[in-house]
Amino acid sequence: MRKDEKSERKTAYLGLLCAAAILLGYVESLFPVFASVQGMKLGLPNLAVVMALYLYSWREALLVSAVRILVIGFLFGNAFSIAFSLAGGLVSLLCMSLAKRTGKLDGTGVSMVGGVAHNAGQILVAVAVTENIRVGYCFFPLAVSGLAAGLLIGVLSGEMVRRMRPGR
Amino acid sequence: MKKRNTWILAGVLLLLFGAGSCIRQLLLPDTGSYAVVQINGETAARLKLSEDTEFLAGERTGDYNLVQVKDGAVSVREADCADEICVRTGEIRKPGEIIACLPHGLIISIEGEERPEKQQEEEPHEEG
Repeated sequence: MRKDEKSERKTAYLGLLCAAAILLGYVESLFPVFASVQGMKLGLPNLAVVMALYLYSWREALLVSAVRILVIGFLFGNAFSIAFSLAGGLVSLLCMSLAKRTGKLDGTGVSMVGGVAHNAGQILVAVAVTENIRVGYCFFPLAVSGLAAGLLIGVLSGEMVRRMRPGR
Repeated sequence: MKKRNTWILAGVLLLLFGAGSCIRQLLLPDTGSYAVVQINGETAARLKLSEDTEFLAGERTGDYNLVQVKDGAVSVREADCADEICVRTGEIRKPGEIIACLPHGLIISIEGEERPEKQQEEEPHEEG
């Protein structure tokens, strides 16, 4: 394959991933808030982020993550929810790329680390904002859900990546 | 090999967070009798769950959250925050449950029986 053809393909894929992430964010915003553990979410948009991380690298994943947070934030959220999402998204992506770099985990494991890190980042911001350590104790039940969500997203994105490796 | 590592890590983390959740649950009192409203870490009100009442939170900070205690449960009826997650959370009544309004730095949590020595210093500021 020619080099410019490859980069064209990549641009198209990244656009696709961003669009998918934004759409998934909309789908998720339709779900009700779970009262039992506040902040519990599936994190569907992260499917696209994990895919970008595995199809390309952390740079492309950062791009997809930032685009989806800003667009979803401006469409359905506000300045506060953007800042809150950025905290979770950045911590999550940082931990995922570190976990991937160790080479000791498969895609599912990396995604799981991302899910838990997302919860940890947001809980830290919540504790800082409310200056209330009590909020921090919610991390444990939340992290169990983050673990499960991360595993699910990891399995799904692994299957997706396997089917759409670029340049094939 | 990588797959095995993933499942080992998943198991370890699950045990860790599961144990944390259990410990958190064990430390909580069985029944809640107070709703504690905290804004930016400071206790703004301590509302008895046995008495139906309303409390306007955030007057000092210029925010608006209408907290309601009714039939032993507390909820935020109205708020002027952007996402209204606090309102959508609905009612809470058990210790360990919280209502958070992060844009306003507001946390409502349920506490058990008050220790006698602390009872004097924080009287609920009731309104409405």
